[in-house]
Amino acid sequence: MKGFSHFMSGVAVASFGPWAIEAALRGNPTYFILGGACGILPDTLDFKFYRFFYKHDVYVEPDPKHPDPQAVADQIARAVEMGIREHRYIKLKLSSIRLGADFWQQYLVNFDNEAGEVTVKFGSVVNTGQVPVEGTADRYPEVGRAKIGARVIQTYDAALKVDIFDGPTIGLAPRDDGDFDLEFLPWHREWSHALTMGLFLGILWALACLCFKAWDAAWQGFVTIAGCYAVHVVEDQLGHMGSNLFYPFTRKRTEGLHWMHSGDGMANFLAVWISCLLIFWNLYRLQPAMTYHFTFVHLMMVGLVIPGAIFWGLRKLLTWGDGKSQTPDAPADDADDDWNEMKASS
Amino acid sequence: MSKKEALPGHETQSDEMNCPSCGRFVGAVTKCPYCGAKVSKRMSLTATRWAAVLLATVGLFLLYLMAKNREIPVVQLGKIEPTWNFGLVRVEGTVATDARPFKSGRGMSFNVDDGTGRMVVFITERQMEALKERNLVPKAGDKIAFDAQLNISDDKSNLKLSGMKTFVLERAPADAVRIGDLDVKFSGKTVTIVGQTVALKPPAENTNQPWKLTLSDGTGETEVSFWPAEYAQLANPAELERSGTWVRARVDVGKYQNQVQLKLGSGKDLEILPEAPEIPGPYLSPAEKAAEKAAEKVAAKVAEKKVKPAEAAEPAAAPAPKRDFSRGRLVSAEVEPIASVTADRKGQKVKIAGAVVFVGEKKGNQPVSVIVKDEAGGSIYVKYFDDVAAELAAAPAKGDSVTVEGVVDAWNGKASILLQDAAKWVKVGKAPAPARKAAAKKAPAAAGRTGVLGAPRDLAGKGVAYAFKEGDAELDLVIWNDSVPGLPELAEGMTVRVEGAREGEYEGKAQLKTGKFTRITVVE
Amino acid sequence: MSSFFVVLASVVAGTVVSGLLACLPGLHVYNVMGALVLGILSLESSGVAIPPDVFLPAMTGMVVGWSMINTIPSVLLGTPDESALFTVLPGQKYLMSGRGYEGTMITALGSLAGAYFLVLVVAPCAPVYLPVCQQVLKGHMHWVLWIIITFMIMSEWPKGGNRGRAGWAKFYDAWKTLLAGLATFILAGLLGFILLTRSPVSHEVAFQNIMPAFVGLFAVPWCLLNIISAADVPKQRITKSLDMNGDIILRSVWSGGLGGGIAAYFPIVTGGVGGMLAGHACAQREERIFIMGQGVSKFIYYVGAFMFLFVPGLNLTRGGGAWMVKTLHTPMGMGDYYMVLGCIAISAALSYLMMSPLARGTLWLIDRINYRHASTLALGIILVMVFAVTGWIGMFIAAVATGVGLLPVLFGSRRLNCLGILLLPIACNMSGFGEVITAWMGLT
Repeated sequence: MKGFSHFMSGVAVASFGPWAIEAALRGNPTYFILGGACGILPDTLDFKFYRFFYKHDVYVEPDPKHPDPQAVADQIARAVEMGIREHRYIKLKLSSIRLGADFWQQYLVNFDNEAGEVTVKFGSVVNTGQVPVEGTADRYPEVGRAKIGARVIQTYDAALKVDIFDGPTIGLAPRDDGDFDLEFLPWHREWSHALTMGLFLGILWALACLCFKAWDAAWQGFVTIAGCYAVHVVEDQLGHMGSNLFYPFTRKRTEGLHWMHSGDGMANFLAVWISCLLIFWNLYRLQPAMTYHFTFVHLMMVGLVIPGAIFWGLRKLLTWGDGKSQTPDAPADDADDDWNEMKASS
Repeated sequence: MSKKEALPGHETQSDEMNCPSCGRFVGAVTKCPYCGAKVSKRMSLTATRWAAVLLATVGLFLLYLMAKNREIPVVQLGKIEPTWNFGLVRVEGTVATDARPFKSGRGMSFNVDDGTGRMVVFITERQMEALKERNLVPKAGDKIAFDAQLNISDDKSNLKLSGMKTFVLERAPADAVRIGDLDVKFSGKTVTIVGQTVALKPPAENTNQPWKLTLSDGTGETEVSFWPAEYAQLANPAELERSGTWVRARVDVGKYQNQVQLKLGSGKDLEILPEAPEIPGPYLSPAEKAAEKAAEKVAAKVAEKKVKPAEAAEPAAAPAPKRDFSRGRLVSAEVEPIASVTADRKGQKVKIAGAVVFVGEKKGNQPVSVIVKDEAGGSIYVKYFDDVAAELAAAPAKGDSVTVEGVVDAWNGKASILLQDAAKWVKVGKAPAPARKAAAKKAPAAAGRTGVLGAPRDLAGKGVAYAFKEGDAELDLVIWNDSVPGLPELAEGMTVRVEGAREGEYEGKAQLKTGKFTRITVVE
Repeated sequence: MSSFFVVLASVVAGTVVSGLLACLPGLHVYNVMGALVLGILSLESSGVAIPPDVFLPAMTGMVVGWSMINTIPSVLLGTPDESALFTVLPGQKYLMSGRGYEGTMITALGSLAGAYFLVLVVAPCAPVYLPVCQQVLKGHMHWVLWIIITFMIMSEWPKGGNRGRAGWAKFYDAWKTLLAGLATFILAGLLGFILLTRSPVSHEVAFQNIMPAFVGLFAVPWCLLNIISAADVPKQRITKSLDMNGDIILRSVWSGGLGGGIAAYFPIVTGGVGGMLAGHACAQREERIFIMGQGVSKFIYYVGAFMFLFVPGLNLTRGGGAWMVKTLHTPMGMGDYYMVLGCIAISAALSYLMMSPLARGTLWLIDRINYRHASTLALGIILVMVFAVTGWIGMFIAAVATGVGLLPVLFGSRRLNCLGILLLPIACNMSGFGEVITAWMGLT
């Protein structure tokens, strides 16, 4: 899911703790801040810290002045050979090619297991919004090809498209049969998206509070941190990539449920909006001296069901009889949407 | 890349965007990430960066010093302009009303008067605790000077206390009074008493009773009450448990069931004395004191033989007329009769005075409605919303004598007053219970009343109501169908005499209600 | 003259005046309204009273007109310099591909859709539901600001660190922009503490305490950047069609309405922050929806905040415009509310009709007059305004704020961080420890 959805989910989880609301009424915002921060923390740890320290075995850095798809294909094949030879996990970095303040040379990497080769094609020049620049699609019509000695199995439907900002990292994990599993962004969710990580951070908080003899803050903060951290992990499990849930007791990412793409607009909006409604409900329950009274069902009807029905109805009406009028969402990239979201946010 | 192959927008791209060594695009960096060569930048960009950093840091620091050391101007409340909104000013004046905590307990407010105007001052919870700690909670009559931020809008203005560093409070002199001289005439005043402890009675367990300290000074014995919060502020409470300890206390005098009640405002207002102090002499009222002083002056001047005794008396200084300024505009507010507040004055600001006769219940998002009636018999609804309710020191109660300032609203031809600022609701006392009203409930008014009939109004087919003008007063004469025996033909403009009708009130308007004992005769 | 015609003439006059002034880059409607308030008060003190029937519709027209027509300089005159800005907003992308007129009109269409939404949906619901929200959220506004601050800071992603081997050098390269962003936020926050607690500006014009800082943080850097920018605007095309459909309009209203609504309702949260939050919440990828949504968001933020002042029973003052009206007038019941709603509708329609000719006029001008000169003129105007209202002290404050406002532009971080000037001190005050900080700083 997008960062803001995780953030608001964290705040919503925090609002279920009555201590958070009581503290807020006394002017103390700590638990809500903790909730939001922990909701977004797993991705923060990966994208803003860990990835800069993640060491790669092979760096593919195409020359922006003379982009050569063959050279790129050869380097990728070299990485595969390294993996075959040394029978170990190989970390391969595909660097982006910057041409200007707002221009990047896009290239696509494809592992063709049928032909036993890796192909590289340089595509259009794109701007920072990933929109192709007119007339640049065929600047480099050649396709680079290099033979590889093993199959590279993509269990995750990642499209290896390299364009803006930081290029992706690929992990080649050797299998027993000699082939390799391709892991997209191996450094992502390696340890940061573990439920155990949330518990660990909660324990750190509790210990810090205990140093100041703040018993209540210790356990309340622990519950808030662990809970809000966990909600991010659970939400990400609804997607495709999955997470390493019990690091360090487990080593590999558990595959996601494939229920949604993290960039799905409606899913993200519903997550945010329902979080807001839950927060509102929790605030209402513990607000002293309320003169207005309503039930949870009433709140959901007024806040979600009725406006949602009106929106849906209007949308149907506005696009009635003309299928083309319904502007589709730009297709969610099959690659990891966290990665794309990070690039888009930059 | 040659100019011919330049990407859109890059045709005029500056060469400094590219590394001079390898020719690749590097952007605004000063070192090429590809080949490590130094990339020199356009002077304006480098200079702008340095200028920005210097302005943002050094400039900010200088601004901070300027702000920290600036002198806060002393202003007169009567001369405040709306453009001064958010301004930091210093006010020097007198505390007009005791500081009262908010219902939520998260702060307090008081009114300050500097002789040119009056304004409410808000204090935060932290400041309130600091004031209590230092025994500087403002009380009516204290001299005060403080820095505060102005908040001015069309309808209400207030000051927010800025900080404690420059807060100066000088307590109003509290007359030293013998315990034997204390009586109900001191009610509402603050006095200083000295006495020896006789007994200290703690509150009963699980009750909200106060502590009671009995003092005696040889002229009489009295009890001083204080709450656990004040007890906690006492310097040495154990001393009070010993009888015979001399103390000096500054107390507020109240009245309950015609008996004097003394309350200690703060534990720091009670001082344990090391030895017996001088007991003050018999109490003289301010007028008596002034007369005594004047007489002394006259005697002194006569003694100097410079003037005759008649010339020695100083003329009384005429007090400067005070203007009740409590908003951004310099508009004077005088109390008007409620009857003059009519629906056609909608939007105007008015000030009324009267007694609370009805307090409505809060329902949903409707405002609270209170009926205020003045001595002339006029009554009107006063309404206020939650934001005002939260700032009222105490909820309006039936019987309160108040002055109210607000904006006239109108609905269905009936006027009401919208109270928009809690400071404009000023309780001046408790009105004596009107004996007349009780009598009215028991029996119909025996006395007749003569007045001129106005236009009739149909009461949904069940009766008629006439406007009944009796002198300056106007009320409704309500006649239900078949209720008045021998009712003559009535019309607008007739002068009639009504006997045996009961006085009442409906929706803020006075009424004469007729019944089987009522007799109406046409006079002309 | 009948009240109806007085109101109509006033709202038209306000719309036309603000519409023309809105075309000047860097000039904010609140600056103009501030001058208007000063003028009205000055007239009243010399015995000439301006009735609310005149100034209320005029001010409504000014807010509505500006919020829509200000799109013109935002899109057409805000050309980014590629050596200073590495990312561009879609509106400016349109400009760089010669479609500036189209981008401007799409945004204006969003504003018009926002007007419909505000008058037909928000206005009837506000008196019923907003008081409930007020009561539920009472005492909780402070942490809402804190979580907005937290998200603003945590959601900024590093722009560098794309090249080189893993390690501290790469980490620092990435974090340079983030550190610049943090520094901007903290410096702006400190500036806010100073100005909100003990501003050096004379108390007689204290109602414009913060204006020099806002000018320095946002307007001056924008103008300066335009002046020193090396990029040229390509030839612009005037399109006859906007290629819109109801679905895009609906989704734009949805995302922009959410962002603008958050910004209008919550104190201190400005349109930019609201837009950022809504953009993240609604996750719309389509560029046209984004551009149109910006128009909706901006309109609802400015006009919605102004409108809340008049909602009966709500007593909510949001936005500089509402605060300025409050110094002159106390809204009274449904009459004022309906009048303002009517003025919003008329002004929105008139503003939209003015958009096309004004946009074309601006394009004609920038074809003939270098846009740098227009920015120089705008810079001159706003500096004169700062000096006229707040004097040399105000100019100094503007200069310091310019330094802070240039940091994100020159070091690649988010300009939103400049909003720390209000967010940080007010969040601290609302939480109750602002006075501790100002006491520690020696300001109180």
